[in-house]
Amino acid sequence: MVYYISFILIGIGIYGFLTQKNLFKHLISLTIIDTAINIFIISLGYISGEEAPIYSKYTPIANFVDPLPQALVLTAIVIGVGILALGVSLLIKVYEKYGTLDVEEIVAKEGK
Amino acid sequence: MSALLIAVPLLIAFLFVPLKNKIKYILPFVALFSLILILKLPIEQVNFLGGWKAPFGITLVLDNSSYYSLIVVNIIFFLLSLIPQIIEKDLSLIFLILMASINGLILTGDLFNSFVFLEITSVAAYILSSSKRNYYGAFKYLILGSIAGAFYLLGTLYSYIGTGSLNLADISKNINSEFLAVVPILIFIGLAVETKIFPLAGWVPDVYASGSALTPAILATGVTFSMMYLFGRIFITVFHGEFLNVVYIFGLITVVVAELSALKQDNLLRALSFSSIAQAGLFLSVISMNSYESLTAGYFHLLNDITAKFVLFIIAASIGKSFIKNKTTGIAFSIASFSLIGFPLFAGFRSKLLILKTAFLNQNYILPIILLFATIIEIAYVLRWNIKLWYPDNILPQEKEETQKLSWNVNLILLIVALVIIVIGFYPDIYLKIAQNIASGLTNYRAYVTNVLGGM
Amino acid sequence: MRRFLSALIVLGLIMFFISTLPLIPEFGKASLSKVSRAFIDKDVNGNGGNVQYGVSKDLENGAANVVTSIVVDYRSFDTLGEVTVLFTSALGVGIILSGYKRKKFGREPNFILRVSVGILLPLILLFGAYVFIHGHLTPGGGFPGGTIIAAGILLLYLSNEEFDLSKTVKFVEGISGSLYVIVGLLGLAVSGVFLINFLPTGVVGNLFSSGIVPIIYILIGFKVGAELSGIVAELHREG
Repeated sequence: MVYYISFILIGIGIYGFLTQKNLFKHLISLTIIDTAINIFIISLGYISGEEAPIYSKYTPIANFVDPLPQALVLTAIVIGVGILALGVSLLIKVYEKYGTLDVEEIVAKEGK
Repeated sequence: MSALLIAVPLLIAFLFVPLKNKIKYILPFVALFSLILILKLPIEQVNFLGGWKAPFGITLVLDNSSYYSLIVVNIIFFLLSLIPQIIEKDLSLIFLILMASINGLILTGDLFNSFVFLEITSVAAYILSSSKRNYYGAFKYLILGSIAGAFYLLGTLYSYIGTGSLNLADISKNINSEFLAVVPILIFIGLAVETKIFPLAGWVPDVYASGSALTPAILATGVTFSMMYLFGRIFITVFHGEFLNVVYIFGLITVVVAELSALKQDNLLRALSFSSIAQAGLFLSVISMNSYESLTAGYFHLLNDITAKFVLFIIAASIGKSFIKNKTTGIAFSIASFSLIGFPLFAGFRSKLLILKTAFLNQNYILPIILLFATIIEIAYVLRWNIKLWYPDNILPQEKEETQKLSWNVNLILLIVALVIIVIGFYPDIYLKIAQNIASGLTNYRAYVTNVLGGM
Repeated sequence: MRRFLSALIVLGLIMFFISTLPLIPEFGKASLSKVSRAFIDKDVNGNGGNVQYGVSKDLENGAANVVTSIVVDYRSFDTLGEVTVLFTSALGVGIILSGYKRKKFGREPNFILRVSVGILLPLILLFGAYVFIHGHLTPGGGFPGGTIIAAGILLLYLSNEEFDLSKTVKFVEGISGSLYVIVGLLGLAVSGVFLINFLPTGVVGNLFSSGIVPIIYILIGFKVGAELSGIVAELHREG
């Protein structure tokens, strides 16, 4: 079921954040968690056999799936993109300042 | 009309994009406009945005608690806009957006809308924390804060499944106990990063101690206060006090760990940021006793703490190693730091006394013991820092020449706030009245639901 | 040791989520809440009901795309917040990455790239504009439309070294954002409520229907396109 997929993806994202040493992989784990949660939210509103919520000449009767989670996910995706752009620009500057993207080397240089 | 508190700063921020450098001088007028607008609004008002009524559309709710919180936060913004020296270039637009989003966090009556405003505040905070080339600290904060935001979103969706709507009043009316076992955990993880609770507060020293004066001056005061307001609103009005015993334990652990870490610090800014974490943990433990008196004590203590931290962080970030050239600034620093430890005659004494009183009223003896332990450690490091800054023993002559004098408006504002601390020590009624109103608005959830949904 | 502890934490988290599965309706068997039912039937104010494509006139919200009507009309304040998040992150990218010199490639962009961009770019821009103008009739809307336009602008940056749009981009971004708030304030001035839909809503399914919804989506399309182009330009300039 879709729910299991999204839970496992959230788990993978958090595991990546806790164990990886490269900062860019932290950013990718964040994206995985965001995507997993968006999948979960959309699949909550699905009613099998019903149409997408758009009135048109192909849907004379209004049998629609739940439109509210889709509206929420629209907002959540855009917020995720904004944060990703900010994270990437911070990483560019971190690389320029420390010369590496490895957590342990950066902490060692900070400590000096 | 209350939507203007959010729309006007946003409009000015959008319009002034090509003129980023001139905007520093307009900030006091915007903050003054917000304050005047709040004073003209009635204390209880529900504003249906777009004309759609309560569970269907978004509502902006003014009641006892949000009205007084708005006044506190906008006064902080007004004071900060009067010292534009600490606002570096380009950051004034972020300041305006932060003003709009914190007003939105306090006013909102809808759970998903609070998620959106939480993310706006977080993004503005990430940008602020990257000043003075503190990119690694800002990146750590970004990752932690975004994962927490994702959990908050999950909690919002679970409450939508459970109650069929996203409106805070509707959720408060309809939520049942099966969902109350799941949703508070997710929302607690979501808010744990911003409210600085033990496992997820690792970002605070790196962000607050970057050397910039604006970052901790706004994050430790205005943003912290609005996040604590949101925490109170969600956990007490909407969830009717569920899950608060777990919050109590985490709060106590936070106090102990943070105070011990503050003792070991050599850098004044880092010591102050650990003190902020400890005060946040103390606040959460106090309000988790979930009664009108404990909420009053908690918010009163929070008000004293942010007043003191306002003075302390600005001074710590702008001054070199001693107060030799800045005697008035040094006096303000000492007043604020004595209020932090709860010295009699200063404001912190009143609030700690109130906390002890409510703890004994609830027959809770662990909290006073930990409070005493924390106060002893605070006395140790506050006295040590005061001595180190007033009587520096190994300062080189050229460093003595280099420390520059703070300009007159910074000194004036700091002195005024320090005088407020002394006044509150003698007549605590102003802060006490604000805290009592916040507490009564938060605990009275039947009135909240009736106001928003128009009759049960 | 660290991996073992992390694996334990992750396993605990997944177990917690799986334990909440009984609370969620089974996949494919969700039931429409009262709020969603009202949004679909367009009777939040209590006088709607049977909505027919091409026939129903002057409903409270005339958009044929129900998700658009939620995002731009019923919950328009959330969209204002989302537009602000994107604005703030574009500002942040500009602040953090300021002070870079433009990087030169050192070799001419490929001939195929230049010619095909000349052919593809008008099509991409036209398609993007179609998506956000018809946001209330077909799937899509302001956000995907703006992204398509930004992708076209990225092609322009890749194929031409002298291209520089930053002044125009800032101008468009600021103006469209302020126009969104001004439309909301006009609603406040006209009917006393912020962001109310004050234009006539027409017949469901026509291009000129549903009041301010297409206007706001066009503004959002321009704003998102300008912002993403600005982010792309900043990241491209890194040298």
